[in-house]
Amino acid sequence: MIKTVLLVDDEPDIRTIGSMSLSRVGKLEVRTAASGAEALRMAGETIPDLILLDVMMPEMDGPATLVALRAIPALAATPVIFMTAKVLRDEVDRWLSLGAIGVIRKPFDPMKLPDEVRALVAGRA
Amino acid sequence: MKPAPLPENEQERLASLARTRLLDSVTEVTFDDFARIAAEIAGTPIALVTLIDEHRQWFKARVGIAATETPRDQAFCAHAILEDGLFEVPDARADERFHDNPLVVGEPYVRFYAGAPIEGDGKQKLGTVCVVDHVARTLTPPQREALTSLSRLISAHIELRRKSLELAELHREAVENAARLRLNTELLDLANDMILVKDFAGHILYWNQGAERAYGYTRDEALGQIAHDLLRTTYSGSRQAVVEILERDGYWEGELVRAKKDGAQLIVGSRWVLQRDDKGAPRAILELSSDITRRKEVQRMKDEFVSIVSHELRTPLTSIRGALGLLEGGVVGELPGEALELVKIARSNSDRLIRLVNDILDLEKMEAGKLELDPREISARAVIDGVVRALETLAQQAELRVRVEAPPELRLVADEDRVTQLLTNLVSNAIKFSPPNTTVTVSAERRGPRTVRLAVRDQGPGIPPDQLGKLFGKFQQVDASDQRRRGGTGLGLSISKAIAEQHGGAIGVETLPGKGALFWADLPAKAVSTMRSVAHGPRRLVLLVDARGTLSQALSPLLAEEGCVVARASDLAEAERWLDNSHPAAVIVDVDLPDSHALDIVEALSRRFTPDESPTIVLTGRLPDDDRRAAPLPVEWVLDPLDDQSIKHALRWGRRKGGVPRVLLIEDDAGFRTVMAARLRTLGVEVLEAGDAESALEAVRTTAPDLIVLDIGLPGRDGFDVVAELRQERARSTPLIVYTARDLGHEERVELSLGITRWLTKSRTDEEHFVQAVRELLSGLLPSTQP
Repeated sequence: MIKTVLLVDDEPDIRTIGSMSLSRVGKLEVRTAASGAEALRMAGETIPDLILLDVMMPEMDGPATLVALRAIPALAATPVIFMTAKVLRDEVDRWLSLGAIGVIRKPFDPMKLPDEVRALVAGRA
Repeated sequence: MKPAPLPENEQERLASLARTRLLDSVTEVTFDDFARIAAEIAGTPIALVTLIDEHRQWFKARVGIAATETPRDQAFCAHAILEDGLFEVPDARADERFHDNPLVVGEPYVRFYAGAPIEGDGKQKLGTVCVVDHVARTLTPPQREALTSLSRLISAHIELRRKSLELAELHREAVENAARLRLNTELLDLANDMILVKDFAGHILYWNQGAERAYGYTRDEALGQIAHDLLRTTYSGSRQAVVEILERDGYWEGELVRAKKDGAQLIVGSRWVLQRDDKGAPRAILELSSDITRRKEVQRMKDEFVSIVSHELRTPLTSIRGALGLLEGGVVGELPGEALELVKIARSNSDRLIRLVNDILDLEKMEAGKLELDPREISARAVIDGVVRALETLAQQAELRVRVEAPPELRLVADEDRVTQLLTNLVSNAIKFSPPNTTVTVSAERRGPRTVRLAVRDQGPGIPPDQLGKLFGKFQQVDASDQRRRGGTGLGLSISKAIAEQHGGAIGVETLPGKGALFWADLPAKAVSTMRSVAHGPRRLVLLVDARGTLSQALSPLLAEEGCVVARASDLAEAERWLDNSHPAAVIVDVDLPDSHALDIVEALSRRFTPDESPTIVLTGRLPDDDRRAAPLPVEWVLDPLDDQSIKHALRWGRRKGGVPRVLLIEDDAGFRTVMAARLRTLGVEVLEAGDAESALEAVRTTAPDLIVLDIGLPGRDGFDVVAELRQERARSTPLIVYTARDLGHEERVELSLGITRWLTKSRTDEEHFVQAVRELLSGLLPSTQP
């Protein structure tokens, strides 16, 4: 059962909408990070139950952030879901092969996002 | 009256007559003069130049007579042409052949006749020059002589006339041909395309102005040069491969990279036609090429653009859609009725925009052939149920029933997401265009051993016949105003068509206006198969490496049926990325790769895997003649044309499963052979022995050994001959240990390669070294023996 989510996206609007969806609709406790580096710092301080990670970010992108997260022992098992506006299947497969439990495509429906997230986490268990 | 019999050679005579083109020709002064001279010679009132046609005699020239022809059976001349010399009738009334002839008893009252034959080409007697009198008489010898001379003169004139007519004809044809040729050349020069004629070795014989402009070489510079050297042509395969196709099909089409005179690179789309001589030997290659450098560049930019647009459009849409969704969902408080109405409008339109962006990008990818399919075995029924469930609300709103008719056992071999997308398009269309209280039927049925048809039937208005053809085009809806009302993007059917075709299937529609429409899609099905699956246990990853996509198209259904997951790489770099992240059970390579040779892939594999762990490697296509490196890992060759059976066989053969491994030992020294065989048997392998080339070849063909150990020095045909012959056969991929008394040079090693090959020198190789090589090359087939 997940309670806390770390949402990582360089777009402030999407951080606002994503966190509103996850907290108001999904009743989850949400923190947001605007970059991979910030995500690493925040996740290291307080370990979330789940990390939602945007793929295309300047400097450290989603896959690179995931690899860095995995290097932190406490975060080695934290489930990570990618969010992306790109849809090429071979790319998606490659991200999944890095150990993410799923990919959520943008644009997402904010009323359904929490359910999708929970379904992916449940599917892994 | 006795009509003259036909001459023996009548057919040839008539043909010769026709060649003179004299019959029914206009009056010619020369012939009139001939007739007048004849009358003068004989001192007769009548003289004629006559020609004997099939049924008549026709007068080319006449003196003292009005008629222009008479029937042949009355003609004196018909008798005259049977004779070799002059034919003379002194008194026709006293001659039983002519006494009752109408020409004798009536006009022109012939009593005396003398005719000398006129000859055409081949000495055929065409007619006569003849004289006629109304009284009985004879000619004097000088008169006879003169008339005969005149007939020879006329013959000579006719022959001359014939030849000059023929010459005139030839001249006219030549003039016309020259004009046509000039026109063709001008047309060829007018073309923007590059048009070349080359001989079979590549020497340029013709070079149009288009080629001058595009490649920068003038005609004088180009003629006689070898085209592929002058233009530094790079082939996607090899020139040899192109030539082989050309020889086989007489036609080749493809892309080439060439260099202009200034060194700049040019990509051309090229079409070649092979011309053969009368004996069928290749004579010349006609080549028509167009510069597609710019088009390729535009394509690359377009791909890049699409990729950026894909991201850049979706990001703001995510925010808009998200904000509206939260408002509509009441997450920040209930909205007043009218505000909620407006937000709903905004939200549904942003949904539409998202669909449109997705559809356009999908279609773009499909048209560029970039759609990656992931074909798996799926239940047709499950796909239909899923689509119908997802569209339940839409159907309820439209007050429609949706019925499903699909037997549960039908299985497709297809990409589930894409088939769902296709069927969703068809079913939602049917729902949108059906009146309330009607039924939409979604069905699946087998249409052949490898085809399942998905069909959607509605009871709507149907489609007017004139619209049928346009239906699957882009932005096509029968009524344009429907587009907004029905909320479609106008791309659904063209996407569905692309999906069906990408699966190697088809899509279509049948309709009766007023009675509804039936949309169908035929997709590949799981065939009923008794073949044992290649893959055992969990699903295996098979990596297909092919630039053209033909391999994946041909093999995806088969591999899916075999229970494999298929990944595709279109070049070496992409294949390497896959190998970095996965360990496929098999790698199937199309040797026609743009950036590398098939053996480069094998080398890439050998850097990552030992022979023990190596995936089964299957190389397909043609044998590369220019790459004779030894494969560093065991490989299987399947030559074009591919068929399911040989691929399956290769996958199994390549896995080399089961039984005691067999080693063929080829060595002519019986004593040494016995010692080596005994040592090999201690490894737990079956050893086959051969003392010469013939028995060795025989053994390979009958037993398909897992490893060949070869001594080069054999009596008669030696080891080189054995390897050369085996290369032509399926044993070309059998691992080989060459065991020889002397050191081998590089060239010799290349020549002595089969599959994975080791070259050992007797004096420098101890037994352990040898045994180790055997173990390695048998790659895991040996029973485990711990040292």
